Amino acid sequence: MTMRREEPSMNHANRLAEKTKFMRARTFHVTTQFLRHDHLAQLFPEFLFRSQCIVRAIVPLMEEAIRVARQHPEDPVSTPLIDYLLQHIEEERDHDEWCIRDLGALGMTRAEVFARMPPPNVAAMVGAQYYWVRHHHPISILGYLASIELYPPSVQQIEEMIRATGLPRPAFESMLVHARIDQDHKTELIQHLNAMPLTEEHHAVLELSSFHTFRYLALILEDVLKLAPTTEPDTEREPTPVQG
Amino acid sequence: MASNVDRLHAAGVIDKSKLNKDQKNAINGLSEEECNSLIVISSKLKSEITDPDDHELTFFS
Repeated sequence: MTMRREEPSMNHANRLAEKTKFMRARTFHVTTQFLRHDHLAQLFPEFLFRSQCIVRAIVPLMEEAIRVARQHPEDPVSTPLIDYLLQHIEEERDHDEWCIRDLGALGMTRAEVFARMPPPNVAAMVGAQYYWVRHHHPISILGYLASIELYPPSVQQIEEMIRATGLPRPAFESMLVHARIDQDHKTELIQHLNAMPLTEEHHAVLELSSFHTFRYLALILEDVLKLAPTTEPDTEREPTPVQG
Repeated sequence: MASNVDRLHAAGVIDKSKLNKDQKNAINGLSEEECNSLIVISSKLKSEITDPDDHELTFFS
């Protein structure tokens, strides 16, 4: 899509959304492929496992950003960033445990979840944030949170997934709760972002962080799609003629 | 072969004059498959829907 001209009065959140729109479109496209997939029921447990791998790192990541921001009280964004993250940590606390319960409804035990090594693309997406937060600027985390929290699915979309997959409803509980609460989280994040004294340098960090997150969200979902069973020729129904 | 930035700019996906050096480097780091996908999706969005913002969602949160 063609980028529109930025208005001089464009706020921080709109500017970030505009700059990453082309990358977001790809994430949305892959998400739609996932939702409409013929084998959604078989793919959903893998999707949920990857979600848990991402969600388990959200609070520790925010705690790390707070720790780093506190080392730079002279930076005008440190205080508002810390204030927002302290509030948001409480909103996100224990959501990784919700995912564990959902996976339990699909027959995966807690021990099985943590025995599996998180996939490389999950590590690449979350790991980049640890690096940027610790070694560049903690504002990076807002580009990450903006990418994963500003475009939540609706309750109706989750209900459609439940119907389409036929999987037990408790496996979707954390997604249903998120569909209800993420609209409020979205508003809070936008308000905090717009109130921050962001410079061009901060924007550059936010935009690259968000770009990277959208890129890897798409790659993670593509990894899930690649696990779909392939359609093999039915050799029992149409036996290969015996030659000779 | 043209860079990803040049290909995406020519396809109307991005405006390269609005990108800084780091952003260009990140886009040039995309695989050929990702770049092709962005061009196809952009073209599809232009022809199918009026406002892509109305149709966006991500699922990891």
